[in-house]
Amino acid sequence: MSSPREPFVALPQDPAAALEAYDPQLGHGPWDAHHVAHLLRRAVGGARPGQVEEMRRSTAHGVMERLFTPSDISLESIWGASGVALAATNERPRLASWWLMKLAQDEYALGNRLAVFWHDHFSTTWSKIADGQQMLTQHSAQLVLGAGPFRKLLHAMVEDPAMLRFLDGDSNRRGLPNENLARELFELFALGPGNYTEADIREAARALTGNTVRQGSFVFEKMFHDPEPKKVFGKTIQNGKQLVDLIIEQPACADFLVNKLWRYYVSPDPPKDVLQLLAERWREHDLDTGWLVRTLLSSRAFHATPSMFSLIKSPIDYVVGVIRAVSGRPDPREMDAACARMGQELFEPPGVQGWQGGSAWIHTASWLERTKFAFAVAAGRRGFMRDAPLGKLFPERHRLQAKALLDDVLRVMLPTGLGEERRATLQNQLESSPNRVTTTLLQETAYSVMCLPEYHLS
Amino acid sequence: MSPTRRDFLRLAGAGAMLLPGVSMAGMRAALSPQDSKRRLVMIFLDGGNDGLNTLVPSSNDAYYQARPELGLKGKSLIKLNDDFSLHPSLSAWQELYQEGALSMLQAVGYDRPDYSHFVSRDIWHSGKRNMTESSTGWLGSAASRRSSALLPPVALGVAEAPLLLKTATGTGLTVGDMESFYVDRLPQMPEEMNQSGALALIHQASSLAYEASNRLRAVAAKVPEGKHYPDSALADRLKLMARFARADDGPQVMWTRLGGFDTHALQLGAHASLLQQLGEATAAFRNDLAVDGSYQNTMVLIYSEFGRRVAENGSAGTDHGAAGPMFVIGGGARGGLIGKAPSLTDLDQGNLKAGIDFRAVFSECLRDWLGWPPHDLFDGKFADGQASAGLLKA
Repeated sequence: MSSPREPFVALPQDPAAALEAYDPQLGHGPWDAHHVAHLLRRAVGGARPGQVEEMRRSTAHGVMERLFTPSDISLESIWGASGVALAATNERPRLASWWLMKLAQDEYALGNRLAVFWHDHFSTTWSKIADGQQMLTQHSAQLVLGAGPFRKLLHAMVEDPAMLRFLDGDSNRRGLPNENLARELFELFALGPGNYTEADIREAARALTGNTVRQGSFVFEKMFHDPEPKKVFGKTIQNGKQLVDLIIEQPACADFLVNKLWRYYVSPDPPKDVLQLLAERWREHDLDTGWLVRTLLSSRAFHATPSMFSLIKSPIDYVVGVIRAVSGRPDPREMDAACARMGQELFEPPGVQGWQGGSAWIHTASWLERTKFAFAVAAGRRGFMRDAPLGKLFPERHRLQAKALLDDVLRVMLPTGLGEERRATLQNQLESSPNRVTTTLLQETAYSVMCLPEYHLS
Repeated sequence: MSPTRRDFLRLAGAGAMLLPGVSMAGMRAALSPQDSKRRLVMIFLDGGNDGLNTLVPSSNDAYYQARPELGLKGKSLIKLNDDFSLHPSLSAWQELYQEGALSMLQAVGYDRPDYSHFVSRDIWHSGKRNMTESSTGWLGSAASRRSSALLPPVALGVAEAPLLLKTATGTGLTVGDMESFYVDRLPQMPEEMNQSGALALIHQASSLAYEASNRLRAVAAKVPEGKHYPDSALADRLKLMARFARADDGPQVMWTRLGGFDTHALQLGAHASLLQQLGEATAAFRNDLAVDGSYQNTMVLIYSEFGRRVAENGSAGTDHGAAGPMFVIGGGARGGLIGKAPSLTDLDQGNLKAGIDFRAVFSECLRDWLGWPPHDLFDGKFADGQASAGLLKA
């Protein structure tokens, strides 16, 4: 996938070396557009115009410092009030559009893109909850606690009103417990299949009795709580809080989360020995997710050539990435509608398992929607380019020269570039395109670049 | 070369070569005109359908003891025989049953059942008890052995590509609705070069999308929309499937899902509403195809990843279980109850034991209904493709 001009950066065989911070000054590899654009795609959803050039002039360490330091006037303080107002409308597309706008502007690596990971991980659907305030409460908890110790986040999610209602924890009573939350807590949220027994689930469901929701808030109702002791993983516990602490102590917990975060940030095929070492170190860091994400995005494994373009962009990654690349100021509702047509609605994952992701994002129906979005952006339709027509991004003198124009568009949209041969054939096609009569060459070029299979990889 | 000039077969990711072990008789059967008219429609009840409250053991005391709150009783039940009734919301199926057009396979499942939705769903769709990262779907694999320019199986109304259709090289053909199944204009596409992995997969999906959008629109354009469908998303999809099913060159296998069956709490209302949607939409589909007799060539297979626990929980709901019934409507099936009724007292961790393996049902449908050789699609003793559930008429 890499352009022939790029030097190949190998994944170090030694696990400790793979987790070292990538340092061009130590000869680990270059600090060029390739690496900067890769980092920006994974950390915040993509580069904005000029950002790659600017960050290349800084050091890798300096860029990481910046990405991992929240700004003084945080995005959340600016957008907070409107979020509350939009949640009060109880309309999913409004709150989803609000989140997409935050994603398009966020420059903090532990901000909104990490929150999408947690939303996918601790999935709750708007259609079952039907309460904007509770969905916003859950989002805020995932955004704030998601960057810290996993233990705190897990405690918060087990007592989160939307989660309790989603997985029927609110009707889990002593005598005839409801296993829904207990099962997903083990299988999907903290341990993964194979790391517990059916008996553990039944006991855990009993421990969670009494946790419920009153007037939209979490309460512990003693009269619903099963007072007998419960035996989970061979240990005797009493309640939900002890259950969460016991889960966190299981070695499988760090293993499970490290694997999943690696697949979100680094590559679809994590090396087992590296994961094992990383899980050990994560335990030493109190399962602090901020530490883990920074370690992942700094690592030599992350900057190794095989990790680049190894992931498939979700609809949100794709739409947000395009809007960031062209500095678009889109109609927020159109962003959400586009993502929805491609198969991803924020606050409405397909079920408790979240989105399957990866290659499942790509199929004929979703692909046609991806091309339609690209066409709308290139053609300036559907309000995607309200204040920033595509032409503003590119020097006017290049408008009629396919070669220079393609270079310009690739620099903005796909900073890594294409292989020489592929670039040349695309240029030939653009030069001989009969569509120049009906559209400008600039639009045609931008459209075709956004429809390249390469563009849909991260 | 423009994508429109590419060989459709290659785009579909379907290797045209004969696989070792495929008999010529099997291939002839697969290509015979009669078989190519046959259609299979699959409806996946996502979340784990409560089989006991769908096909109700209405004279079994153990059922009512296990379900003091959820046990269905009374005159509204649709009585099938002395022992079984259908859920009242399935009244649209009563006529089908009387005509022998409704078959019910009892206690379908598999050994060592998994109680996770996601693991169990993947077992049903990969056809294998143990999966790996590179697992493919049995239907996608079966279709990839088919020759010529036939349209591959199509999935309707999916946000993400289902494992069932996945092959080693592609994610399969999916359609949202025909109104949006087009591309504004083909983008410029440089020739693919040494692509592998995700890049090759995206390239394959994009080429298939550009080609299939034209072909499926042409197929749908030949057949007018059927009438008298209820107002639901499932009914809309079945209405489109009926158009595909009627066209000579339409896809032979169509798949869709109906979600919401994970009824852990306050189950009665939600389940009734889902079954009503299912019953009305499938009956409308069948009546639509009955107008010209094409229902004789069409079989509708309805299944779920598992049934639910025999005993209800304390939330007026049911937790994850194991075996459950499968329903088949239309052409070729025997009609009535098939297989032994599961015991409600001899249970495995509170769940029904399977009497029929789902792989036997799918093998039989592929082999004897579609004429598609099922060998090597399923694992263990089902690998030879000889298994049968006794679903089809002799």
